[in-house]
Amino acid sequence: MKIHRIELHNYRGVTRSAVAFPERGVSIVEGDNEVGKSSLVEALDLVLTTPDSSRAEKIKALQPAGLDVGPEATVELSTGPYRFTYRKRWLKRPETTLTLTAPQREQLSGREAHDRVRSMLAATLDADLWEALRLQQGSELALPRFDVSSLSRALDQAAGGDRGGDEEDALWDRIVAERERYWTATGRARGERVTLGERRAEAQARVDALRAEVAALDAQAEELVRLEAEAIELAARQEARAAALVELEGRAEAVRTLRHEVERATAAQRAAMAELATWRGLIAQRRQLMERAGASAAAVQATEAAAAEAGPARRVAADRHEAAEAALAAAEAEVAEAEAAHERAAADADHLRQQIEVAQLTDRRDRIARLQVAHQEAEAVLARSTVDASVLARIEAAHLAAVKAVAAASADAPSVTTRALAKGSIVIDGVPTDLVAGTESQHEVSSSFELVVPGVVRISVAPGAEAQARAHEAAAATAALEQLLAAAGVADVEAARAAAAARVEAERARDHAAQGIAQDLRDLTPDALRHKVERLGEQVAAFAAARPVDPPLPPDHDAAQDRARATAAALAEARAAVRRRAAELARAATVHHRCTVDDAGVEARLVGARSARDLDAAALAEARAAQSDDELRSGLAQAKDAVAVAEAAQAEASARLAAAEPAALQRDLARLRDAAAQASEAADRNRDRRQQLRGILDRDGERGLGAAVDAAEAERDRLAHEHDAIEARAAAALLLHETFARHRASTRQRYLAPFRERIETFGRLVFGPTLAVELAPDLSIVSRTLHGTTVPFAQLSTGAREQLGLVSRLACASLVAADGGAPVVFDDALGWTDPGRLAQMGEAIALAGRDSQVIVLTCTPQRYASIAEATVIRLPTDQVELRSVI
Amino acid sequence: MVRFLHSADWQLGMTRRFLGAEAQPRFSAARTEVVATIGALAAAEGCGFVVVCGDVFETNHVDRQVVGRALDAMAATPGVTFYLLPGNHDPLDPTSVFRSPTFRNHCPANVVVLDGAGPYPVAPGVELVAAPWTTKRPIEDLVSAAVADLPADGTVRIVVGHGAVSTLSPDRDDPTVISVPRVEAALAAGRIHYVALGDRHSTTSVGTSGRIHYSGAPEPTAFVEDDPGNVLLVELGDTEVSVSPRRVGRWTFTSHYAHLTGPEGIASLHQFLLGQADKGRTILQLTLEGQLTLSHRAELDRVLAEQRELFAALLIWDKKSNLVVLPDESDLTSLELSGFARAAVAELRAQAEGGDRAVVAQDALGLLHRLASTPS
Repeated sequence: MKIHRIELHNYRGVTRSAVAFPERGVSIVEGDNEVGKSSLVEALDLVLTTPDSSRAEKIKALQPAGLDVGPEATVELSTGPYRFTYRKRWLKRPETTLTLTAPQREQLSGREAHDRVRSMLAATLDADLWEALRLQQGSELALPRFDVSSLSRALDQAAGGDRGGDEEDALWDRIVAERERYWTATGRARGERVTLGERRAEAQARVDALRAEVAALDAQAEELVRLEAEAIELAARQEARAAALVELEGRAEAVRTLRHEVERATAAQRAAMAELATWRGLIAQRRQLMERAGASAAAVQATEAAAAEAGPARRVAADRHEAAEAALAAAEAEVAEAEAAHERAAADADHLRQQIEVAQLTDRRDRIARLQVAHQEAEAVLARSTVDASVLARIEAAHLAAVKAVAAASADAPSVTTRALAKGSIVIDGVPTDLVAGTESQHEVSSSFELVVPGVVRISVAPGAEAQARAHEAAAATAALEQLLAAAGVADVEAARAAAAARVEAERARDHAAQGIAQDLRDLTPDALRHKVERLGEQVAAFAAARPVDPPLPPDHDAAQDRARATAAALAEARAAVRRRAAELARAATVHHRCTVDDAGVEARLVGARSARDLDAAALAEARAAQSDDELRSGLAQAKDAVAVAEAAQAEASARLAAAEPAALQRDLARLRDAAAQASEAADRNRDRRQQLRGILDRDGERGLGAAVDAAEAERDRLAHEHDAIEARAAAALLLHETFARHRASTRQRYLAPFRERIETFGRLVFGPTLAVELAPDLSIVSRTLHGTTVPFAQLSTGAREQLGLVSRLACASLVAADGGAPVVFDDALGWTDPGRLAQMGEAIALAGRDSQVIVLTCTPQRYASIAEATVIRLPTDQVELRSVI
Repeated sequence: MVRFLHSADWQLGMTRRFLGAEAQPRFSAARTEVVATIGALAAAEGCGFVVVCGDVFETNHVDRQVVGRALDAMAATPGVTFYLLPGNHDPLDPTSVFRSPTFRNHCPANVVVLDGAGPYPVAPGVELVAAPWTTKRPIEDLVSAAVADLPADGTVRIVVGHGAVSTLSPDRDDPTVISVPRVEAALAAGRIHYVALGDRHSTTSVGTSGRIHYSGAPEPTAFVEDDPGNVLLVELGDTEVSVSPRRVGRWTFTSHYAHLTGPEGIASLHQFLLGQADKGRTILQLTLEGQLTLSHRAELDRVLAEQRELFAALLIWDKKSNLVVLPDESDLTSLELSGFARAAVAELRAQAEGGDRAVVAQDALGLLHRLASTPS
């Protein structure tokens, strides 16, 4: 297809615009934004596709604002053998006109015109190609689908024209579909194949099952045959056993007879032995009677002897009894004596102890009396004493103060020293004093001093004011001391000290006396002590008065105690002797008593023994009268003979029985009976099993399994056939698919080459001589290689992708140009391409322009300045009136 | 003079798997009908009895309905006694159909099972000497055993036996094989006079005495049988014997070989098929060899499909057949393939010429032809 002219009227903002394009080469349509560049391409599409009656939104959008006329577009195209001018007006007074100029002139309008254009385009224009070759402003940078039929055809021709066409593609689709009927994507069986395989296996299983049933029946039939043979054999065996059994049972009967004989002989033997035992019993009884008679006679004799011995013994026992009683009485008298002696000794010891006590108490009483006197004296001193420790302390303090005050006063006071020059007399402070030559006298002036040499002079000395004050203080302190001393009733400090010491001494004496008194009184009061002394004294005196002279009182208390201990020991000894005597007496009394009792017992026994002796003798006599001893002896001998005979008979019978071997016979018989029972059981089992088998065979045989087996096998064969057939079809589909796939892939690979080469031809103008590209089977670019470095398309920069997209379009257009092709339209493309690349891109575009119609719409003409040989069409900015450029 | 029919191998209850749902019941019915035919023939020929020498039933497990119908068919001619011998297919073992409740309950008066080895008087001075099979695996020649102790006392004896004979059996070690020399010796000694045999489905005379015969099956059962479909009418005189086959069977098993290379062969095969009589009772087995183009194969398929409607069964013997189907140039040209498709077809063609994958490749080409011819 070639675009010759596009004209717009009242189209959007464009009142009128007409652009004519050269048939080949590059046309650059320049114009600022919104002057209608894009409208040119849009109008071409709308004219070709949208009827004039359309009210679609995209059509309504064409209506120019504020004008009452419909938008109108006219295109002049040539495609295939056709060349025509096609005009449409929409919305207001819609209209379609078609003017064909080639192959022959023709004029159509309305729907007819529209349909004619559609059919011409359908026959001559590859719509996919037309779509692919347009690079719209701002469109996706992804590559277009180059998998379009016209390119395929062109490539096919370039590759030698052997690629196959749409029909082959359709066939390929059917081959793929056919394979998918039988195979999953992973190459496993699917669908009916699986079902048939399963049904075939199931059918085989049914056949096997039925055959197994038939086989089981046959096996049971064989078993039955075998059992029938066995039954005959079993019957024969049973018969033989029955005969053997009859024979053995005859012998068993004979053994039973022998056993009866043995039993009889044994019974006879037992009877004889019983008889013998009876005789032996009788003899034993007789012997017993005889022994008893002898024994009772002996007992009488013994008792009589005992009675004779009893009298003397009793007498000895009586004497001893008497002696023991006397000994006891003597011992008791000794005890009384010992008791009296002991009481006496104890009283003496007591008395002597009391004497000592009285002496001690008297001492204590006297000492107390003396201490009480000392105590009273000390109390008297204390009562008189006026200076105690506190008074003394106050006096000492006053004394110290006075001494200090006096010392201070005298230190400050003036002193007057007189030296007698000659004998004379002077009055000092009114006191006449005789002078001795050479003596000196010193006087301190405390308050005033007056020295008169009578008649000669009166000298008065007065201390200063300070000295006077000191003197007063000293006088006051001294007065205070004097007052205290007076109050204490002592003359001076020394006296006070002595008085205080005397008081301390008195207190110590008083306390000492009190302590001594307390010590001697202990728990007593003085009166109580005194009473005690008196009472004990009286007791001592009374005992001494009452006591007989003999024996004499022991010399002292210790001796008395020794005596008392001796008498106590004698008393204990005497009491022990009494206890011994008492025991002896008891024993003697017992012996005496027993002797007395024994005497009576012996008498009684003697009577009993005599009576028994008489009875036993009578019994023996009676027995002998009934059966004499000789008779007994002969009976015993006869019985012994009978036993010997019976034993012999029994032994003979037993021997006969043993000879018949009853145990072995019994064993054989048991064994044979077991065997017979087993055989009978086996026969029963055999019979039961045969009946069972016959039942089974009758029943299952009647099922007529043969037909079922046949039917199952027929079904199995049918399914096997079907399954084999479908497997064959699947194999065929697989092989067909596999073969076609392989050839298709290699062919495609082959026919990619021209396209790749063409892309590289154009691309090397842009990217340089090292460019290589790899194509996918759908003709898209997989990767770009530059300077030996391969980068996947998707990872290329935006600019590079844009350039490759443009280059591949140019390559495509140039490949299909010979076949009519379609114009390449770039609407403001290469926005991502840097100026350096733009120049080279211009070369590529120019190259494409040699074969194809290339239309570039742009508002930035400098982008395409590098395209040589381009026809530049400038759309004016003024939109009111657009002009045709050519 | 004794006059009777000799038959065998009725194989009642036999099914043939290659028969379809329509033909199988007819085939089965024919096998029962032929029993009535034999009865009627015996009556018509004045025969007092029919000996059936074994394999009366296909198996002891035969469908009991078949048993009932067979007995019913025999009961139709009460004047003719049927002596049935248990054979290797229906031996007198515990599963024996002859002892089954169905058989016992339906057995008419004119049917006698030869269920013991030895003589059965059938007429004054005439005995059957039966050699029934009592197991599928006997351990001796039953016929020789049955004949061994017979005296030559003037009684006319017809031996009724079943099994292979020594002169025809390929298996010399089989203990059950009937010794022809011994039987012929007994014949020569005049102890027996006719040996009626079953087991071989083709009517066959054995030995040189003219008195030992296989009657063959009254209806065919397989393609390998030479001359089935007969019963033998036997007349025993004092010295002479007359044996004549009588056709009773109506079904046919036929094998046919065709070498096909083009339309001529197909046409000739078509003619052959058209020429077959009584197609409804004919089971035809074809062995096809040769090489056909896809279009010729389609023609062959059409012819076979058309004829298959007419025959009881029309079978291709796969094992023996070797029919190669290859697309030729015209087949492929008519597909108008180009590009990779043409290359792929060429490769498949090469594979289809021979080798392991030849059959698959042929199928693949056939499939391609179908897919390409289907309008899209």
